[in-house]
Amino acid sequence: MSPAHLRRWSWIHKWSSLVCTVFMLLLCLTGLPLIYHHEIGHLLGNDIEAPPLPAALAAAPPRADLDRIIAAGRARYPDKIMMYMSQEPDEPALWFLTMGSRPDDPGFKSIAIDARTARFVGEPPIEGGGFMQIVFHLHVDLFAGMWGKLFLGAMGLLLLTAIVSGVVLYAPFMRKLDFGTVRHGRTARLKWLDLHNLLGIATLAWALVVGATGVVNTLADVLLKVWQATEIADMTTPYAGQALPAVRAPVDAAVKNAERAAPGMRVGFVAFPGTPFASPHHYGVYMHGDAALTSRLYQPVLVDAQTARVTDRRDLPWYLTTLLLSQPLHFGDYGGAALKLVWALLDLATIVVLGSGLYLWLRRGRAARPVAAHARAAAPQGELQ
Amino acid sequence: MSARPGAPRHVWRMPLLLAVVTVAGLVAGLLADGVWDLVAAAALALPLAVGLWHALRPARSPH
Repeated sequence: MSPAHLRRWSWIHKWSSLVCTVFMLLLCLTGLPLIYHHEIGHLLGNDIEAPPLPAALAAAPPRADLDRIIAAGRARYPDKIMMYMSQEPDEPALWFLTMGSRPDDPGFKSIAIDARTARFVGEPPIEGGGFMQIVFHLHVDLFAGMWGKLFLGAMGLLLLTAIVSGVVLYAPFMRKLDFGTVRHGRTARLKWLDLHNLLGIATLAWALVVGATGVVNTLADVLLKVWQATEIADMTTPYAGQALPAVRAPVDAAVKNAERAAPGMRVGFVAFPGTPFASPHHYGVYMHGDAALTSRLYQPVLVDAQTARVTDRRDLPWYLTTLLLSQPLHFGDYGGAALKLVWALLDLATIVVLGSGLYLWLRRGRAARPVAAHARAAAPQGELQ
Repeated sequence: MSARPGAPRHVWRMPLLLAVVTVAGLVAGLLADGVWDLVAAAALALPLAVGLWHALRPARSPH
């Protein structure tokens, strides 16, 4: 690599890292508790658990009528309307109702109802509540909604730039050294340079994947808006000019029809008319499979809100499929406790890479020598010319 | 390390191996459950183990 190239890549690596490092440290620190949000919720006593059934019923648990389940929620919030109802894949005994004063109410309530008896179970705290809610927003949108997400997405793009430029710089640094060489006993800066290079290159693929999927996740709001403006609008076209249904068909009938239309799949969530995931004239019933991959992918079944007839069933567009597949790859929540632990350790390793990078910059010397000088020192004379 | 120092193979063999193992682990965990989840965790732990081993092993005599 010519000295000019080296200087250019050093400049790219320095500035892309410097701009994003503070935010990446924040994301790594807040990401750590988020990996364990289930366990933390359990420790804080925020878990909602379905009460045990009497022995006679437990063998073949009944399935309560969905409209009775909704009625149980309405009984608690008579002046709110249904936005969504959802089930966790591993907890078929509970339905979680999302209710608000309008179909896109950001101040919604979450209510857990027993899926077998239609009895009220509890109200899980929104986004984990308290501490976890603060951590969640610091990680996702800096309390600034869509624009906060997009800002963090831009910082994520800088991180990806820093990773790629770091990989480009790795070769000239390592030309004379064996993989994993850590030069102890000279300067502390040299030791940390070696550790930065070693941990950075070892965790490269993971950092790229988590960084890139994180950027994709920041586009969630935008992608949803695109989908609403194109496909949802398209599904609503035949209803143009029609009044909204005055009386809606029972949700239970709508869901049963959707299940018949997508055999072998189960309901992930139901979006009520007017919400971003449905049209004003439809229930959006989102079906998914139960295998490792298919449980992540939703198949929307649109059910006429007045007749409960299935009117449309389409695959998610590629960009929403990408978004849904990006989520597990960013969260690390798809491989049990062992994977979560490794995810947390990789997160810690990334903190070391970020921190050592910052240290290397702070200790760059009074004359602010370019990184290239160190690469030249590490390489045999003339090789970088 | 048989590759000649300075050759691209010398520099990139280990990083490439770790990257391939990482990606294989990420995909295996996503596509299958059960024992594959452990395979995925082990695959992702390998870069950490290699990094830690080199980072923490005692300094060799200066050369």
